[in-house]
Amino acid sequence: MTATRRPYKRWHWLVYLLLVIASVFFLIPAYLVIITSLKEPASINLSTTWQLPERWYWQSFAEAWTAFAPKLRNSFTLTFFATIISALMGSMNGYVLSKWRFRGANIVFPIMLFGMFIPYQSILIPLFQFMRSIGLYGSIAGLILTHVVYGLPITTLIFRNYYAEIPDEMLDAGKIDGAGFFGLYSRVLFPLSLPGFVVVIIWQFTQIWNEFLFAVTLTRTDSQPITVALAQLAGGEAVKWNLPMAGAILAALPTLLVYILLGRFFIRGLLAGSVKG
Amino acid sequence: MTELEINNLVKRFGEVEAVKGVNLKVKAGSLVALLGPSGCGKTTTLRMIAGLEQPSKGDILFNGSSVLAIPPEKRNIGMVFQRYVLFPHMSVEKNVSFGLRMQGMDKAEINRRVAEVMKIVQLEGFEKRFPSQLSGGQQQRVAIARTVVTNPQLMLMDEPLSNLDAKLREEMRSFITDLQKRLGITTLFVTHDQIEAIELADQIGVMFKGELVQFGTPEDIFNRPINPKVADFMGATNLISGHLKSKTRLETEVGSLDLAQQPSQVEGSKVIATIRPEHIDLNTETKGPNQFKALIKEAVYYGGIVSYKVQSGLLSLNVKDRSTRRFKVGEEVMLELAKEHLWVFPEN
Repeated sequence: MTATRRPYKRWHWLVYLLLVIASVFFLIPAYLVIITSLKEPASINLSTTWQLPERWYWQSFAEAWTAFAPKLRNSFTLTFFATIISALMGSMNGYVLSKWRFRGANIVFPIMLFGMFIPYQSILIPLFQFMRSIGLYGSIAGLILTHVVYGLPITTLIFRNYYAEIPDEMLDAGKIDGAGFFGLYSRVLFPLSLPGFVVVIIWQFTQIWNEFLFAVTLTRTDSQPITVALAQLAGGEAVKWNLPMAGAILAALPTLLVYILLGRFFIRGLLAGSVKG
Repeated sequence: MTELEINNLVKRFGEVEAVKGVNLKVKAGSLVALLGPSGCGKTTTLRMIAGLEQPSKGDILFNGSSVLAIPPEKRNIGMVFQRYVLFPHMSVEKNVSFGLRMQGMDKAEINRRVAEVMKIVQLEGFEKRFPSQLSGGQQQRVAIARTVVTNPQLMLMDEPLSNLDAKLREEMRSFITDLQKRLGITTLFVTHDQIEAIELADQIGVMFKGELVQFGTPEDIFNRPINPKVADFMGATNLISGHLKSKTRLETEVGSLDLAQQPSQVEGSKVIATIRPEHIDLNTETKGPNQFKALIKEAVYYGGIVSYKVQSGLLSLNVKDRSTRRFKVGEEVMLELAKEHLWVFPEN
């Protein structure tokens, strides 16, 4: 026993050292963002980039909040509706594809999944034209629709695999007891799929909240989400760097919170079925 | 009470014919077992009766009227599945009352019926528990409660005991027969276990490869199997080929055997005789007819029973001995085949 453990004991400090170096490396941008956000605009320059602020300047966050509040509100509206709608529709799709197998289901499902592999850039121009033709260009509703459609392949895949684990006999029992298509969904499958919903909601929330390309293409100034507003602010000539940095921290908080609060369900949900054997 | 009748029922899945023209009549209030090896079409037959599968051909009648056009939830049937498939997110009470709630019954009546059924399945006090907090036997009783609470005209059971351990299975067998007799619900029970079928059923239908090959009382099936396959499935694993010397005498490679039952085959025709392992007696000396010498090739003790494999010439036979005698491997013994348990079938 001790003989087999010895090599590990001898080398494990090296493993930790490598891990610490890697962590520091990945934390550098976060460090820069935080210290810059806390510096006075006048004291931000290249020569003192790495130094801690001489005086903590909390004013940046108040200013960033005033500047970005409407954009954050846009982001919340967009992310909330797009996430909920794509999760619910994905769950219904998964239900039909796993439990109400119709003729041709084996063709429809792979075609749906194909949507996951289409790069955003390749559909940008037709998407823009389509949105304009249906009158949704420049609105949050248009962006919500885009994210719902683009989210369906992954949400359908997750729910379909999740529902495949639920025995068909359970639905047969419900059917004999008088539950129909929607009754079985709302009374049996939906309550059983909460772990699946956690996975999908975290995934979609993060994707949609952080997304930039669709947002910058399909919105106008008043409907911009935070990602676009931040980029525009940082893109100017004489930038007060403390503001976009504080804004970036504000923008990162919701996704961080979602992961911190629901993260353990995320891991559990992803592993559902795979551990049980 | 409902009488179930199945006429020329056929089910095809693509090229495969899973059920090939089954005819069956289940008398009102009786318990019938469909017995057969896995893949013989018994579960498919059950699912067609439930309305969960559409037959390719044939008809299913409840009390003389066809139910083919009626969806499962309107057939007023109950079904117990092999996996209990209770709804894991609902308490026992909610599981049992699910069907009643789906019917839109009023709350007071639901509570009354649930309380009554919980008493019948002896699970009073378990109402607020969740399925994961119950043992296998309790879960299966909840599944049965969920089935009978709607007063179904027909109860279908798909191998309901196969997930339980041996001791619990025995308890549940008598529980199911008692319940069925008390409620008088016409019941069709699917199983691959011949002991279970014999113990539970008023009548047994034996199925092989999508066909119903024999239908009769447990005694009929056990003692008068219609062909060597049924005999083999019912545990008569010994097959002895020979030809009929007369209506009461069979000539085999190990000697001639007296028969108690007169076979329908003509004299001189080639036949196969079957006998159950427990109907062969082992002796050390010759006592009478139907005896021949054999060598013990294998002996396994099963607690109360010794299972022997014996060889006589080219013929190998299984013997189950309940006595306290022990024979050793390599020992020579005399086999005695009880003539009243020898059954004769045409060779093909």
